[in-house]
Amino acid sequence: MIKFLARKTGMLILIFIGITFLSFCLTYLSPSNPAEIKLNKTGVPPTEELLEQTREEMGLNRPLLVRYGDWLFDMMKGDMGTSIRNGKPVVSELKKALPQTAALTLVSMAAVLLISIPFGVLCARFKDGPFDIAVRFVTYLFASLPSFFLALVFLYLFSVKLGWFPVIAPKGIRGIIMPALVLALTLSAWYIRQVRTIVLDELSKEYIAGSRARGVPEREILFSHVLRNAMLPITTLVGVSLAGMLGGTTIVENVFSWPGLGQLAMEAITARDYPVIQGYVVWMALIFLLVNFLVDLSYGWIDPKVRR
Amino acid sequence: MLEVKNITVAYGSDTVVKDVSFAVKPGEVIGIVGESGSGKSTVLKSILGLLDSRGKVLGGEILLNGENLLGFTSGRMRQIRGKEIAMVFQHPELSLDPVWPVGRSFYESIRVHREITKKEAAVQGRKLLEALELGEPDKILSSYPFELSGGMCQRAAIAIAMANRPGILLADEPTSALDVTVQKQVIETMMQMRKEFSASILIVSHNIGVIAKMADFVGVMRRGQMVEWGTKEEVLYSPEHDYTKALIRAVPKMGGELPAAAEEVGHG
Repeated sequence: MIKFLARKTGMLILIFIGITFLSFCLTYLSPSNPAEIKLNKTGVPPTEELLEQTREEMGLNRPLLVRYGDWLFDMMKGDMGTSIRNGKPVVSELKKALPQTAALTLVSMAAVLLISIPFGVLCARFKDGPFDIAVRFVTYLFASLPSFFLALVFLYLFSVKLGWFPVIAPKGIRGIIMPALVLALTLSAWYIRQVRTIVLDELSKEYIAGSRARGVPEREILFSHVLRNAMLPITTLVGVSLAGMLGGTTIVENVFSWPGLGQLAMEAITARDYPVIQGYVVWMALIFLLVNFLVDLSYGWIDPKVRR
Repeated sequence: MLEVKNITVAYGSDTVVKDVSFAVKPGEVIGIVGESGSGKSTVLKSILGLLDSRGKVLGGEILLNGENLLGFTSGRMRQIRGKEIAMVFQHPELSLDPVWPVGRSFYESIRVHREITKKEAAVQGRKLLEALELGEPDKILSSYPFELSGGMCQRAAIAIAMANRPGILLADEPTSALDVTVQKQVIETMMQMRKEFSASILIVSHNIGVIAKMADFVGVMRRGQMVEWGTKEEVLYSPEHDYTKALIRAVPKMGGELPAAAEEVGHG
């Protein structure tokens, strides 16, 4: 286990350096000029001389590797620089957006699992029955709707027409319901189909026939055998989704004005706010690595073949 | 006593078993041979009511001590499975839940039929495995199916099948996925079970060597029909049907005599 952890950690560090360096290069190659943006923000007309001076101040004239090394070193100390856009430290910007996105992610993912596991299992259990066909039709519909469309429909229905929720989401429970619901519904449509397939696959396995031959009741076969075995592929799915959602669900966050990472990233990209973009990439890389690590660990817990 | 009377089974519009009859009397070992697709496994599945959704018994009766199993509700059928009639499969490591230790499957198969504590089940499991001389019973009970060798796993699966002392054990190609060297052990385990619990065994195999070693009566199936039936001696040493003759001729290393072939368990 220690060897497994050591190898995983080594891999994590390597991948982390790779991702951040690549993104560092990409922003470096980008044609727009951060010094110019900074000067424009302060209202100073950018002359050649002033530009050069600002570049020097910002350290933009040094070699790429040196700049990357500096940035990495500072980041280790918890300093990711300051936003070009508003002069605030990148770390505090991220810290502000992070809990918002984390809350949205956790609430939606919980809803997705609560919706999709029972529906997926029931569809598989009564495959090709009226319930299965109806659910498949609805999930097909929701899976093909873009999330922003559903978000707009929700806004129109629940905020404008019924007035249940404010158009601009406040923080807290009242604000999270609509964005979480939109996320959960679109994702559930896909999850129900996945869970259905996974459960059908399990049901066709020989140990199910074996359990039936031993006289195990159908209900128990479904709950203590099938669901238990389906945990492994479902965990993999959840891992992938969590990693993606923790990076901020840009579209839904923007439609509902939810002040999460997706919105922060969107604003940073529009304003060519490199330090913030860079900080965002670091977070994305970290979260992907961390979630994958946790998924790997959970395999050890779920699958005896990995454990032994 | 189990009597199969004139059963006909179809998958969709495809009739795979036609008018098959035979009886399994207490303590007897019945062997059914036939090539794959001959319908012999379907007969076993029909007895336990385990045909998949497309399969249907179109006619005939399956009588267990005089009662027709085909008329049973699914709830009542569940009480028969594993308690009155148990079954072992071709791939033991696949027929047991892969994420459960063997001991837990053993406990489950008793628990679904009568109240028992985990401890009691463990004691019984240990006893049964000891009687079968399977080495370290505790280690086997705490192992996952994938951790056991094929032969060991099949013998453990047989022990699990016998957990409730069923009167009849159905065996669907129980040795076909195993090495020749361990086939003999599995056969011995089954024969030991029969002796210990005076159970009857209905074994289905394409391996004539296995059938010759175990069976008292032999049925030969071809394209869904029972083409020959009789005592082992009648069927294997003086076959009447051409298909049976061909099957026996196909057993390698015969040297012109069947007894030699019968000893060579596993060539099939």
